[in-house]
Amino acid sequence: MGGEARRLDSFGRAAVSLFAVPPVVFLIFAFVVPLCVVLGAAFLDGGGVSVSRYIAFFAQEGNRTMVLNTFVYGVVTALVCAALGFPLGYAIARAGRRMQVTLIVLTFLPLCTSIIVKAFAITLILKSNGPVNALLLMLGVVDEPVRLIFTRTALFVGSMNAFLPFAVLPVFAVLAERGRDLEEAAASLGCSPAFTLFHVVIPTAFPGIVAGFSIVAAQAISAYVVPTLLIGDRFRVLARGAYDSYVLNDRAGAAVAATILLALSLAVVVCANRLSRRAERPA
Amino acid sequence: MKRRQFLASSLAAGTALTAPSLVRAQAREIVIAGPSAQAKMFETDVQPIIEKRTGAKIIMDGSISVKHIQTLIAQRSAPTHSITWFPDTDMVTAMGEGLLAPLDGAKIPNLAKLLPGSVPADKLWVQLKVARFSIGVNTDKVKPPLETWSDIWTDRFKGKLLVPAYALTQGPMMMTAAAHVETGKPLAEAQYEIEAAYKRLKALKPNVLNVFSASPQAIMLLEQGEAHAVVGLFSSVLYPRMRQGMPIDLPSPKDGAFGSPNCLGLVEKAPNASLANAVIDAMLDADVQKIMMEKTFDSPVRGDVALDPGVVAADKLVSLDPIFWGKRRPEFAPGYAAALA
Repeated sequence: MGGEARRLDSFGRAAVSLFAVPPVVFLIFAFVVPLCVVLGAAFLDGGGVSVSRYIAFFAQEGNRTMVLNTFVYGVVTALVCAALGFPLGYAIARAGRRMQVTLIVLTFLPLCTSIIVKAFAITLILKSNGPVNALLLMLGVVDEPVRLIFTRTALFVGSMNAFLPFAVLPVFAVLAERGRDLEEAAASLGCSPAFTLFHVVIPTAFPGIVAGFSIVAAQAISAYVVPTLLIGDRFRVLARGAYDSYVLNDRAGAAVAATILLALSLAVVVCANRLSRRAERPA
Repeated sequence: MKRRQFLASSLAAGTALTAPSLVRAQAREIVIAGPSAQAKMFETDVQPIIEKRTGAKIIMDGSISVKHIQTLIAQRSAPTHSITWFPDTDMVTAMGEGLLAPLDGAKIPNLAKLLPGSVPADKLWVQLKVARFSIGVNTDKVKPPLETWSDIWTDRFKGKLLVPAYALTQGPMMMTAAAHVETGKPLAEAQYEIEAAYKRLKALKPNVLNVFSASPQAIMLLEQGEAHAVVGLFSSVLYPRMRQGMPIDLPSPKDGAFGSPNCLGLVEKAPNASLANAVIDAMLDADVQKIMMEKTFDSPVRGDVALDPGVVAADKLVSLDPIFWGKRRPEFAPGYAAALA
């Protein structure tokens, strides 16, 4: 490539990078500046940088429970969504064209509904005279209605409902892009369907599974509406704690909760990404 | 004329025509930092009357009080808002930040016509109306009716009771009711007995279906009988549904119901302060008080307004000590959450 071509190439790159300026400027004002404000509120104490607020935060048992609740809720929700999202994403990727469109619409249609409406709907479905209890009574599984609302079961069922589509899309995207050549090759070499699933399909879909896990984990860890409406204050999570502190005019407390939430979310996403890269690395 | 020249000329002409009216509008403009939940009622039923009476152009900025307070702090030297409309505990926060100017009886004549105790804290704010907090019940499920606060600790409510999250305005009220049942002291005295409140709240756990943050969800579960009682519902939230035929009610226990005063204050360095005084005065007029009572079921702060059925006189309701709760409320939050967890 001559010098002229290189100059044109770098000019092209510079022109393209100009397109990134508006979103970068937006992110600086909408994310970086507020983040600095939050970090300042959390770490600046008495004119200097201090972690005293974090020490005070973790000194309270209720706050430690809140952090643990948030972590467990985020990771378990993401694991279950990833486990359910993989077969659905795989089915969509390998379905015929018409069925594929139908499945995609069915999977993503719930995203068109407000998360508040979905949470209320879950409450109605799980209440003592709701359809789930009616079914359990009809089948003779229980003798009297069991309490399902405002339990961890309700929380996780509602969370699946809210977050599952985000675990399906990456799996579908990865498998659709890579086609079925490898699976057909495995079959032609005499591999059983189970062997092909575990040694061909899942490794192929793994980056998508991890991406889905990360997206769901990040959303669940920072979720406010779903835990608030489906289980309430008896299972406190960090997003709720941050809001409560803010409402009670404790801005520093809110900032501490918010930064811990951010750190948790980042830690889970970074670990998942590392896992994905390690799995992709040739043995 | 070229297109650019045309656009520039149009813009200049438009500015020249509209600018004077904007300036005029600003000169008569009063921005109220008020509650979002009541913005629609105010704009529909009250604002037109006040604007006609005072000549002010009112803008209701509806949000949560804590956000308003942060805005007022940021704009301390040149505030946009003239009037604050907060619960009394948030008025204490605003007072602590030096955001409020004293009210002048000469400029707000209605201050002299209100029920005793309606203008506290050296006239830094005035009560506008008082929301009644009590125990919402499903009348099909709660038979015989509730009589006292201690009833909600009995087995008849096992797993069927919703209690408010502490961050809600009703949180301190729930604490006070618990302390009252534990100590036997009247509600007004029991509010300071924090350890007693924690102890009695722990005893309530078997009855608690959930600690709610969203009143619409609590009302829905009450109407459907999933919850038999909800502690800390507003009359303004429950009564409209009751009048639509839902089997719910908001009885006042014999040992007392709570009142949560909505208050008005004049912002320090308020724009158009004299007009803001006129707006505050008009909102305390008897006919405006009556309209607000009819629309919200809250108690008026004037004794000369005939009460609608179900509305309790403001001076019969127990209001919590705004100074105590305004200053110390955050420190009790972890104990409340732990007691009910």
